[in-house]
Amino acid sequence: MKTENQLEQLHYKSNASIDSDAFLTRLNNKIDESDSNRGRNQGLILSSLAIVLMLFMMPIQEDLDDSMEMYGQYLSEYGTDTYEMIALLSENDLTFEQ
Amino acid sequence: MPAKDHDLIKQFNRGNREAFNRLVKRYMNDTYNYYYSITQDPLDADELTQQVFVQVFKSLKKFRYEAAFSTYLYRIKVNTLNSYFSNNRWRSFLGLDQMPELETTDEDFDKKTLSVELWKAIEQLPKKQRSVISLRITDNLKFKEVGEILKISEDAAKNNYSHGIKSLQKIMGKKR
Repeated sequence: MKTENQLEQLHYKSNASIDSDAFLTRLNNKIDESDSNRGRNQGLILSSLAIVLMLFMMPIQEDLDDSMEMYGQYLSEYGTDTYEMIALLSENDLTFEQ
Repeated sequence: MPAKDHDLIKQFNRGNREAFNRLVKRYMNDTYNYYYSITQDPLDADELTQQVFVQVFKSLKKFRYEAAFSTYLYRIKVNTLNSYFSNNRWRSFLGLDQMPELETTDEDFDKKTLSVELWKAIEQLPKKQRSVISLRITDNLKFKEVGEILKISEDAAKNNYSHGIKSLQKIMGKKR
């Protein structure tokens, strides 16, 4: 069984040097590339979020459309319009409570 | 007199990209040799060195000037090495792993082969033990420095090292 020192000595330490200009050119290209990829990814995330939000909002919008339609039917049944309805409510001192 | 690391980082954070290049030039050979010694593969060593400095570029804005840049760089180097080992495990699982192609004419061929075997064994250790051993073996750092880099106590660094060496002795013993 190898001792601690023997194990450490198995490590072969290299002493190479690299071409700094070529390395820096590649590195800077990689950084710029990763920046533009990040921008593209953020764009993709935002569009995906917008689509999800739209899909989520659609049923709410439909509910709202239904309510507006019922309100319109109510006004036409009573032969009145929105302004008259407001006037009627204020004349009778009626307010909406939250 | 060359600018201090912290000054270069400040200049870079003010938008001076050349300051970043100077910082890279200062540490790229050490970083490259750290990985080359471990992988014995120039392409892997180059790729890992690039990954380290891309990470440095992205994270320097958060640098807090409390520790030396070299400590900060070591942290990134060890994390990158751990990711490399994790990828290797996947490569090995998928049967895509390869031994680096060493030149048989190389007079240090035997030493390099043994070194590759050592690192294949270190790769199998738990992450903390592996990180401590890699810092001790590659750069002969003191346990105090290892602890500072890995954000653990000096004693924890010693314990992890001792457990790691025992495991290595078992792993390497089985192969012999």
